[in-house]
Amino acid sequence: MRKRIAMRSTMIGVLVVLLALPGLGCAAKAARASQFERFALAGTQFADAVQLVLDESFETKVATSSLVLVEARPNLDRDQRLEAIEDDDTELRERLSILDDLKKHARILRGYFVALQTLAQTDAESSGLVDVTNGLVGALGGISPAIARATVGGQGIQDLIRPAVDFAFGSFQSRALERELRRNAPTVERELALQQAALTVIADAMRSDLEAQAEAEDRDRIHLPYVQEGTLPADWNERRLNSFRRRIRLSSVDAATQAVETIRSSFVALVENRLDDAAIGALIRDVTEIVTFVEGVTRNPQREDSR
Amino acid sequence: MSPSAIRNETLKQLRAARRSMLSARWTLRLADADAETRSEAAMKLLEVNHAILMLENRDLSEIRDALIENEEDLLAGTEALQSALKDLGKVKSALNAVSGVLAALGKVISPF
Repeated sequence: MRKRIAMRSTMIGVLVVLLALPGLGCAAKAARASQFERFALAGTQFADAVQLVLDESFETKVATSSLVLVEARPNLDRDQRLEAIEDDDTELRERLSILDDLKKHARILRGYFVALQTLAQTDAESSGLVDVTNGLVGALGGISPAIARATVGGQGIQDLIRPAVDFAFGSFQSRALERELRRNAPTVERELALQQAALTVIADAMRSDLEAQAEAEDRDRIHLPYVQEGTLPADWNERRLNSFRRRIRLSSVDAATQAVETIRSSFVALVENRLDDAAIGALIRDVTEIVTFVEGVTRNPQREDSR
Repeated sequence: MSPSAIRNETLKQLRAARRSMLSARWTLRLADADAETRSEAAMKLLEVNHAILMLENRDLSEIRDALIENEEDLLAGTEALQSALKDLGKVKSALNAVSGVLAALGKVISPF
């Protein structure tokens, strides 16, 4: 009889301690998991957007190659023309192969972010743990109905079990996230640095390609008509005005370069546990911008825009 | 100057040259030139553009190779995250087991 009383007292004591813990750290753990989740979401969107940017860069590269081939064509013989187009095709095929590898790699990076997001999103309720733990209380009640009827701070055990489970689960999840974050930090940092390097090369190439296209367009539509004899086109002044207003359309690739920089700094902040709402907001904005620009280009495929 | 800095500077010069060769001034100069000069200029434009393509491809292929080198670690990281997710499932299994033990215990220890 004394043993049973002692056992019951111990169980209630343990429960009281367990149920008192949640309020101490549950909110902090949930906030931390939310940081992981939002960072991972931005990373996933970035990996998706990079694929669109790579496609756009290839289209620009082919357009520039075609422009140069057409420019040179009148002053080349047939053999020279053939050699010129074959040489460019070889390099463009190589470019396409590199970009395909980069896209494939972006999908692997996406897989990492999705796994991170899934781990961060999982909570006690979605894992089915709450039901199991309620079963646990029921089982305790089977040993002693007094436990099932017990109250802590005026609340019944059943009412308090959920925060306790959240806390226990959150601790486990939090430890797993932190452990994986630290373990994978060098890989992710290297990855983001390389992504940034690739996007910088692509941005420089696109900028130069679009400048070359704009130069040829201005020459044909503005400068030569003015220099040569004859009547100027009716919209000549408008063409000139548009040229001054034109900004080389690098919005998507510039946004991608900016986004990868923000993701890198956000990752460092995540590792150091100082990723605040403002930084997350900036990250989401940057990633959303890439998608917006690329979608805008897809809907309205002009070579430049006015801002 | 490092090899990559030299390559960057070369690319910059080549891009500037290509742009000049597409300008109105260049076109007007060539208009007065003989056929041989025009042919030579056309070949130069092609060579410049081809060199740009090649140098950009070399830069990108180096980065691509480094990214592929990183793939194994990235995949390992992804697997570790998925494994951690399974570990969370083990908490549920452990609690189920405890429930089972307690239920059995309840049958042995009579309630009072």
